[in-house]
Amino acid sequence: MSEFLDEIEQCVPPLRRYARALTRNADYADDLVQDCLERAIRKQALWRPTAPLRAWLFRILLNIYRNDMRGRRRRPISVPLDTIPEVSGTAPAQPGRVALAETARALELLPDEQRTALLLVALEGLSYAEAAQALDIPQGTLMSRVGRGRAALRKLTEGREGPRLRTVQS
Amino acid sequence: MTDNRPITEADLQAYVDGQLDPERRADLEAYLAAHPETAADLAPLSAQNEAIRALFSGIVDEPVPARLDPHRVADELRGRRRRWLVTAAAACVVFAAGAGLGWYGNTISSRPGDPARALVVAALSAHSVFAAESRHAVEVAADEESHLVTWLSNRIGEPLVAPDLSAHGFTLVGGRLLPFQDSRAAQLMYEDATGGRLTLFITAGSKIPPEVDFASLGNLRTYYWMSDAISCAMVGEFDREELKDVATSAWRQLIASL
Repeated sequence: MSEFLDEIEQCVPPLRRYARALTRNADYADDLVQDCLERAIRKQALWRPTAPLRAWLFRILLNIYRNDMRGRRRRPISVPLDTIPEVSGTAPAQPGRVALAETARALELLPDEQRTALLLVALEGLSYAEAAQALDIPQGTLMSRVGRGRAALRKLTEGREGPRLRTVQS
Repeated sequence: MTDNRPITEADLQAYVDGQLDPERRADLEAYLAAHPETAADLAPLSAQNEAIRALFSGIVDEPVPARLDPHRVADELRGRRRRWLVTAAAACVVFAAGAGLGWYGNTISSRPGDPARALVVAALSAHSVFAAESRHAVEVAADEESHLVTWLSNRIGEPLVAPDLSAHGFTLVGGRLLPFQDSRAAQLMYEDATGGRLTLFITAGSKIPPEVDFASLGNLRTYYWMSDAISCAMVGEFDREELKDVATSAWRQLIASL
């Protein structure tokens, strides 16, 4: 049991980060994580040690979040942009780099299914397979949600169509 | 070794997300070097990933609030269960005091979503009613043990045994069938040389995480287990260690028969 708890503990900071990015509300995010931990510990026996613990925890968290979003408990709360956490350090300057505040605002405008998927991959660095497990969707669906989320985000931040990637021959 | 599969949109996306294996990644890099316009298309996507990470990266360095320590969460869950077991036990007292109320004790104090609570309440209630009976303690007596076991197994839907607890000084008195929630339970009763009684309450399993725990009500103590095949509670007025030994032995025998 204790080893299981230690492993969960490693996942708490990423779970908090993901929940915060998803909800943009620190208290609500931590409530989600706490619910997630309780559920995970109660359902410990359902976790197959062969499956990645991280994806399983994200899956539990997402289930709780989606249940909430179905209107039972809370609505997502928008926060003014000036409460966006200070960014320590700067992302490498590159052409086309979008302002962070704009990205934050655009993320909030994405449909939930794109945002949940995109954040798992881009923010948490889950593999496509893990992210698909966490969302309980096929990997192809996951990739298409990430792709659409990305294109939408780019459109929102730059006011124009994102790149249309084509199948190209090498 | 590179392969000649065409570069697809999925590959480009996977490249941006750092999800390609090294070989395929090398293919992509070669391709992008030869196709600067595609590389230019990808740059904003990489920048997007970086922006997303930059926005939220600080959160992982924040101190984690104590309420999100899994060890503490686990302790609190245990504490919560202990508290409701006290409530469950209190409900049994009320039930036992108003014995005329019959099986209402079972239904009023068991809430859906609390399978362990329901099990413990029912097992303690059944014990307090039937262990006190002398002539009608059981429905089928131990002299018909094989009939008893077959009958209860059929009703519960699992191959049961009447565990042999003679090594602990207990002999089988008999057993009975009881209602439990929307199904049935079996109660087996044992007795030691001084007439001290022990009951074993057995129901079909539930699809919840297996658990084993201890609860007490005054002198009455119970050890219970829940698994997906069967759930049981052993109840008696014995000290905790003794009860645990007997219960463990019973559980092993039951499990072996499944």
